[in-house]
Amino acid sequence: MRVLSRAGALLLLLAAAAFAALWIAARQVWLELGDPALLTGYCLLAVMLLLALFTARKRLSMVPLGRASVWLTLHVVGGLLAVALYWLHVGAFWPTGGYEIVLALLFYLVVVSGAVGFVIQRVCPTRLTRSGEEVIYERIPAELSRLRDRAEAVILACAEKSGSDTLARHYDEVLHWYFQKPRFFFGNVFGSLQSKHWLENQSRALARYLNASERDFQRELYELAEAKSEMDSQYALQSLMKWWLFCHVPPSAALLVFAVWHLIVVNLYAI
Amino acid sequence: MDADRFGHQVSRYERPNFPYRCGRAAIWGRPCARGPLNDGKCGGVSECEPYFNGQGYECRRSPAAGGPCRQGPLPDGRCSIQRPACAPRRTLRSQRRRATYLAALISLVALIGFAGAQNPLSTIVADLMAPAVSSEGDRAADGAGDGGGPPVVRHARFSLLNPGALTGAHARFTEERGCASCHGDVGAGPAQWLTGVLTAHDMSEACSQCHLFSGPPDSPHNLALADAGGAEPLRCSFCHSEHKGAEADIAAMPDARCHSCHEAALQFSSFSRDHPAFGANYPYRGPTAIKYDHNRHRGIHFLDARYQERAPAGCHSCHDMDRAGLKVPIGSYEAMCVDCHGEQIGSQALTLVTWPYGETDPLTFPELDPDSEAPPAEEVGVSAEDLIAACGSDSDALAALQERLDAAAEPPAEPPAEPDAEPGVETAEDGEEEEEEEEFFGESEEDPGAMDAFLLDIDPTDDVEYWAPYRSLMLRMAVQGKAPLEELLDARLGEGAGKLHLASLDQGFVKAFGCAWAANEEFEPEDDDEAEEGAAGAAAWSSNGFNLEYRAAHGDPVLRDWLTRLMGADPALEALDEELREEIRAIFLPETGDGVGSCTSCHWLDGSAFEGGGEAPASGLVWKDRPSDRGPVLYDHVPHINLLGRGTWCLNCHQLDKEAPYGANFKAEAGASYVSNFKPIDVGTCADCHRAEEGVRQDCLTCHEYHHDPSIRERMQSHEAKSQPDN
Repeated sequence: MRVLSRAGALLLLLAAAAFAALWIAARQVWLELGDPALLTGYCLLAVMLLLALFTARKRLSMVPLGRASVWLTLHVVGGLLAVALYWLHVGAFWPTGGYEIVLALLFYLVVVSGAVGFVIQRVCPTRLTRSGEEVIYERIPAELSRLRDRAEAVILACAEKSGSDTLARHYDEVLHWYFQKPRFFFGNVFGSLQSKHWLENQSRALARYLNASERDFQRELYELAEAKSEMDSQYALQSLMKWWLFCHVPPSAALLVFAVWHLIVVNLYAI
Repeated sequence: MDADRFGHQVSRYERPNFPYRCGRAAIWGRPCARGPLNDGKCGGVSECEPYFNGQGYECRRSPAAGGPCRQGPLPDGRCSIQRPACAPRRTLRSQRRRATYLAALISLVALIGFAGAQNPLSTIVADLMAPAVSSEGDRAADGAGDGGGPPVVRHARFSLLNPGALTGAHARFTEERGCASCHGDVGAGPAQWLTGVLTAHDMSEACSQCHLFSGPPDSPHNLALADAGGAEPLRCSFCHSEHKGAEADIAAMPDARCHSCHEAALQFSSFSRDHPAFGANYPYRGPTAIKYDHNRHRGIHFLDARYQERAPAGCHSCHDMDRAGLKVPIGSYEAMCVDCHGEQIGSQALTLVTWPYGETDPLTFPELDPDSEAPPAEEVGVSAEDLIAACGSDSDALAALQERLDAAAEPPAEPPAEPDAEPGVETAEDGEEEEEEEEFFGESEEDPGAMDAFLLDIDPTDDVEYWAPYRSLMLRMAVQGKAPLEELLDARLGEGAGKLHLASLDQGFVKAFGCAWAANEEFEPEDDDEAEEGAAGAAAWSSNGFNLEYRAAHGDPVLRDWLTRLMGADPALEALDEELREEIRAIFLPETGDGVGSCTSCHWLDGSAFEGGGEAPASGLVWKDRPSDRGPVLYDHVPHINLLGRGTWCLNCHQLDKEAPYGANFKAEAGASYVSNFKPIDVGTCADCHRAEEGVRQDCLTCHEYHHDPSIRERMQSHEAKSQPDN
């Protein structure tokens, strides 16, 4: 897994150079008894607006504005630059004032959620690829429904052919719960084999009560359960890839509002 | 697994950017092929929307849902497969969009709600978070100020306008008016917000309302630098950034900032290693107010058996450690000097009025003596009756005056007829009467002094000329007390001088002196103890029988006034004849030594005599040490005294230079360099402790201050005093 592409490395170098130049300029202003907060503040705001443009780029997917991966790299590198600029601007990890604390809180929330999201976006696709067939997120409910229908068809066929309701009762008592919706969410998120072990245990416990003809249906049923397990994994990982944005995008909007407020207040009272 | 099950013919096209998704899928059921409508209603109550082809209705179920159904549409055009409607749910993207808008909206509401103390939200939260703070003042703070000035905008502690707590002193003085204390009326209303955002603000002016400097507040070090042309004015906030918390050090100044401007020679990282040498006389650059020769006192006077008992035990005996700061000031005159120098001050008296010798009877009034050439009572200001009323008629001269007054009051008797006498021929009796008139000789044999000449504007050698003004003054003194003297002093020295100079002069004493002169009798004060006390301590008036003289005390306002006038360019004295001016000067500042009061025995006559005498005024007597002007040097004795002990280690830094010609200072001419009793202090002395190895501070601000001569306006100090609970 490559954490950083070549373009990303280049952008990171450029960002580091830009930050170094800004740091030198700000320090020079400070040394000359000036107020560097003005310079660093406007630069930080510019970077934050640039980062916010990433959302706009995603909405305008039909417009040729460059590859999304390049934008994402820009977003990530820009985020790192924003963190450095923030510390340069504030001069401390934590400010003291009421709205500045809220501002810092939002900033750190956006940064942390962004970092977590970056890790998720790097880790999950690989695991999705490894987990077998990829199904887009919106189709997963239909897929689960289809698997459930097929499982119930297998149960009916078994009852008709064997005349035994053992498998049917097992489905009703155990597997019906399993097929209703995605299960073992956190196990799938963290890549554990909890789901598979559970299925194996259930299958092994059931096998003792089945005759030879029923065992074929049991095998078919548990193949469907395995497929459902993979679908659960798909669902868990894709949910993670989509839901982390709830911790990133809304706070980003709030952050921008507070940043604009900060700009107004500073211009009103201090500049 | 069927890999083709998502083909476009068998699978519906997913649109995650749509606002809604199928409600059945949301509960993990099979979604219908048609999906929800854009307005959030279920679009899948039927399998399809049959199409009317002109002849009948056709099923239009999509291939993904199984293609056209067997039953086909109903005759009325409705789909034959109907389902109950689902409850579509919002898609993830739609939820996220709504969450984003909501977050922005909440932020906006919070900002508006908590932006000021006027807002109820802010007040409620302030009450919850800091009930102690939200007292009477906070609640009443959103109205207009008492003085009818701009609206007072108070902000609760939890305000989204407040970027952080102020440091202690600033927090206290802003309690009354809140933000407006520094920010004026910006933000007090929508109009001020709009104009405030679009116009530049510099709070330096507000800072300068309380923080004063000896130079321009917006120039480096508050100095009017010649080469600062074109440079941007500095703002206080560039270095002093407030709202960083109550404990924030807003006066911190790292060395790097000093080095950014100062020349390469001053750019160093170690005080102990690289600091340039101090000045040749450091820190004794100029004379102090008192001419105290440490060497002579320690080496001669205090070894003298007569004074040994009074000799101080050490530096701390004279230098008041409790008031130590940049200097360790000396104690009071009464505590330190009076034992030896007390009698010196009153040893010489200032003779203000001298009773001069005269040969004309002062009790000659034209009203009683028609042949007299004396000026009339209106011109003198005193009549014979006034004089008798004031002085009585106990003395021979005044009794004779009384008789003449009585005689003048009787009606004139008819002269007896003298038939034998021829008109125009003097009789022998007349001649005898004339012979009986005695010649007048004044008791005093004194000549008028310089002060008489100054006050009366007379030529002291011309007894004919000065007699009339003298007579008028003395007779008026007999009747009116010191008022005529005050008038003369006011007239000569300016309004108020009389009251100042004669404050301790007793009316009865003056009148008695005037009456004695009128009676031509030597003045004998009733009680001379007062004069003796004056010589010992307090200022007092006395007389040697023929004068009024003043003996000064320490810190005497009369002598201060005279010396100030003599050292300055007082117009009254400048207008005098040079000879008279020198005579007056010789009274106070004789060439031969100390004059009246012996002020110059201990106080520097003129501090400007020394080159670089920063502690001395341009000219004039130096009464007290002026506030030191050591430039940017900021030394505090207190931590050193506390660390080393009181009076025990002074000589560690302040080493006496026994060879120093300190006495030469007294004879120094303009331009001469001041010579101290002490050896200069060098960098090494400080570096003994102030070095990295000792762990003692050695940054620039340890010993230097950025601002030149900073101070706080008086009203701030009074505000501080009021804010203290004990006060």
